[in-house]
Amino acid sequence: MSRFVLRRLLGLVPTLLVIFTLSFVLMRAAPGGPFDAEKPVPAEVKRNLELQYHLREPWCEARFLPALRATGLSPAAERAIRADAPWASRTEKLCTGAFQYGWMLSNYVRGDFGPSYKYKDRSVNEFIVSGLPVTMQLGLIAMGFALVIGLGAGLVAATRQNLWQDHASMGAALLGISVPNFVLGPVLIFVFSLTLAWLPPARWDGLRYMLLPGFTLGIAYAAYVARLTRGGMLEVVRQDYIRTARAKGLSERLVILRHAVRGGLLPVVSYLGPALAGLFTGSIVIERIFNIPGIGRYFVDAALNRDITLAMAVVVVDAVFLLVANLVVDVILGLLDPRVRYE
Amino acid sequence: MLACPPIEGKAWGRPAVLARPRRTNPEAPLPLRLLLLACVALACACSSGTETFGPAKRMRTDNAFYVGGGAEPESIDPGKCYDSSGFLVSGNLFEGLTRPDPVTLGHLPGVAATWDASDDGTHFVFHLRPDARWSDGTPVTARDFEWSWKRVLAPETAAQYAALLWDLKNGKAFAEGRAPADAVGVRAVDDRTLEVELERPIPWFLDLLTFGPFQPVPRHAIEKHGIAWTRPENIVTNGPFHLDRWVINYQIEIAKSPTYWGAGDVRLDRVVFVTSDDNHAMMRLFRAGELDWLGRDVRPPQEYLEHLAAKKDFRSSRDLATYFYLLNLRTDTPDQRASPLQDVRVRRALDMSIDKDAIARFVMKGGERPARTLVPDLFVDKGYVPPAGNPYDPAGARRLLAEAGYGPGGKPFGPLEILYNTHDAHRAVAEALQAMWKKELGIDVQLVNQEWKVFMNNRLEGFFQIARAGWTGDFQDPYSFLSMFLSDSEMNETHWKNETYDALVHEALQHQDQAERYALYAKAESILLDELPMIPLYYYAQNTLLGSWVRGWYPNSQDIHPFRDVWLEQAK
Repeated sequence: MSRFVLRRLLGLVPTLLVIFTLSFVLMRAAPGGPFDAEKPVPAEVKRNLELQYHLREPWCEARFLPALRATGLSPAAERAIRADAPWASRTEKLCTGAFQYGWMLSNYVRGDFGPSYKYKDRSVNEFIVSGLPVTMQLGLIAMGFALVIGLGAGLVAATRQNLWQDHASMGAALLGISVPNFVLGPVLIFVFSLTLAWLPPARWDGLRYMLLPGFTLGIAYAAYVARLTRGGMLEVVRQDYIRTARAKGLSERLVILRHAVRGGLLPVVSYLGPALAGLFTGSIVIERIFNIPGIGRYFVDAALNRDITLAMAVVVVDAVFLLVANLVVDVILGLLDPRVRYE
Repeated sequence: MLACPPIEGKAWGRPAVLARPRRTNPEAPLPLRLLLLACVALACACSSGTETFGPAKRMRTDNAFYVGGGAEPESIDPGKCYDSSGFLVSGNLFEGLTRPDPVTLGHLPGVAATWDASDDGTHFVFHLRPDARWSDGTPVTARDFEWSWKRVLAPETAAQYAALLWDLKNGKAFAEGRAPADAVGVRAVDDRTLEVELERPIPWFLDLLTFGPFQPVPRHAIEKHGIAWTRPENIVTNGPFHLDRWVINYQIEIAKSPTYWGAGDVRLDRVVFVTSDDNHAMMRLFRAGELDWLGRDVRPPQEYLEHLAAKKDFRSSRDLATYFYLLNLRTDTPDQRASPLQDVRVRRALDMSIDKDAIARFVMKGGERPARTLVPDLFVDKGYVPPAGNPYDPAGARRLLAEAGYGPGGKPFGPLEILYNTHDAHRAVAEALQAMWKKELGIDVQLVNQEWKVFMNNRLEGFFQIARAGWTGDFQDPYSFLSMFLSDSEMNETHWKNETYDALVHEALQHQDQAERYALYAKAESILLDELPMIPLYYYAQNTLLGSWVRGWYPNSQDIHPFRDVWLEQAK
């Protein structure tokens, strides 16, 4: 098994490199730069900013478009120079991109995500370090809700198949999957915070603050877990070994809890990996609605701000979580299911 | 059910009277029961009118001012800061030679106790107060100012507001590497005397000194800690507050500084900036009593405005900002040269067929005023006599269009394209114009929306026909608006050029007397409105929510409220 894990871990490296490269190319291809604003920054200042953040490479300019190196070059003049020599301009851009790619990659290898393009006094690492634990806490709470509610409802539905309990919990699950969390969140806030005044409407300052966002985020996952549990259990209870257990005279409770659950929950376990990775890297919507200082928001905000380093960092962190979670799930499946072999 | 917001309800923390929902099937799907509960709650809440949107009395007991801080600041270094939420924090941590008057935003003595100005307005000598100190106890000296200003100008700092200091003698030359630092027109004569020379007179220079790039920064802390100097553990400030705590994307706390020379006037113990750019989340926090002021960068969403209008804690005032459309007059490509917008009669017809009153009242609904000029109506109070601008006259507009050879029987008028950045309010305005131009002039208009950075890029590069724009004045002088359309302005994305206009605006600066200056501005603006490289639509309003217990907060045109002067009535 250790060989299996080792091989899978080594396989992560090329996957991550592909993800890194793809997101880098996409970010660079997007029009508009991090320093474009309504009030244009003076050309000299913008130039200095771009030099600091490796959006401009003196070496590439000198090699391919020396005209760009003139002092006090206005944006219009730069556009004219580039328009006159489209091929040299493209080569210069490719060269700068290659430099930037190498700079970022060498940073990543050293565990440094680089400086943020938007937040000028901060490194990207600071954002990840401050936001990731919060997001993971939220993810754990949400997963707790998802498992308790989902497994409970799923087991009830499976043991009371086609009775009203089954229809009720599966109907609820359908509703849970269908109601988007940006609707559920405000409704819950309205009821429990603004009307009943039981729980705070937003922010992150202890367990009381975690309940509403955790529930809102977890409920859709709970619905999936319930449906998977029911399906898995119904399949298992028809198996011969369950009939054997019943024939031995075991109580229904023991049959379900000791024998059926182990096989019936396999689909849930394989679903948990991606689900946990998704939860740990946050929910853009929930973090916004509840004003939670996690990292989920950067998936959208950083890309919109063209904060290349921050956007890529969250993508890479998310990818690592997803890949590792899948690996862990594969290992656990092997332990639970004797039919699975590590190959 | 969600069609009923804005919602009224009980404030957070107070006993809420709620009709118990009738017993429902206990096994009914959970979300369904919640929806039911919400409906019942809403039904009883909508019928009970309250006079305030938030709580009527303050929920908290501490002497701390809770403010919606807007988005996470890009930086709180006053020299490098660029965004409004950053200035909101840094403006209370640092103090310049002058500080803003909380009512008029004119200048009051800050670190400088007195000053002498030459008659032509280009030469100043500031006398610093002896009791001005940094939060680590060291005195604030003239040398701190000299170093700080040169730091903003220095190319390696890459300060985005550096251009404000270009008007210092040799300021621009130093910023572009053409002059040495010693040549810059700011010089510490001794610890308490600062001499300043300007390239050209700037009538509002003393007001400008209240603003971030002119505030001093602690050389000793910056040289020791580098970019990490703004962290709570490293920062040294000279203003009424010092930085206590900073949690990324959550909150920033500042506390009263005991070393501030005017500490006796500061009545708040702390200010807490709650960081969030989600206006809805902030509205809920205010409603629940967790905020004392909604903040400068958080605006009540449009759908709340009609409901809020009657609330006691709702404040609406006029903003120093104009919303307008840019018309592309560039002639770089054949397409641009053939554009009907090149004909001034077409531009005037477009302006005259817009019912701006209807846009302000029925589309925006938040206290905006219809605009016939670029310079906001606030300057009228100060004696600015604006040119009349173009009237709303659809019949006249049709005549102009026919004169230009378009309209029925004339040249075909290809569809015009309005470009705006993705936002509900911008779309609503663009749709209103689309309908008006179709109805009055028979012109087809296509709407194109783009994400902000893409939009900005296309505007700068000139890839637009008509583009949405908005501008907030940086200082209280019409120059802040009129300078946008100078021939050499980088913000003049229309590439409109008029020598008389340029000359009038430049000449105005030579006049220290406000009335004379304003007369020249008005002449310049009448040229702008005749030529119409842009169509003014409305003047912005500042809408906000402020707890009734907050004192020392005065509505003003730039929405600047120094927390030095704010206090809470109920706090002990």
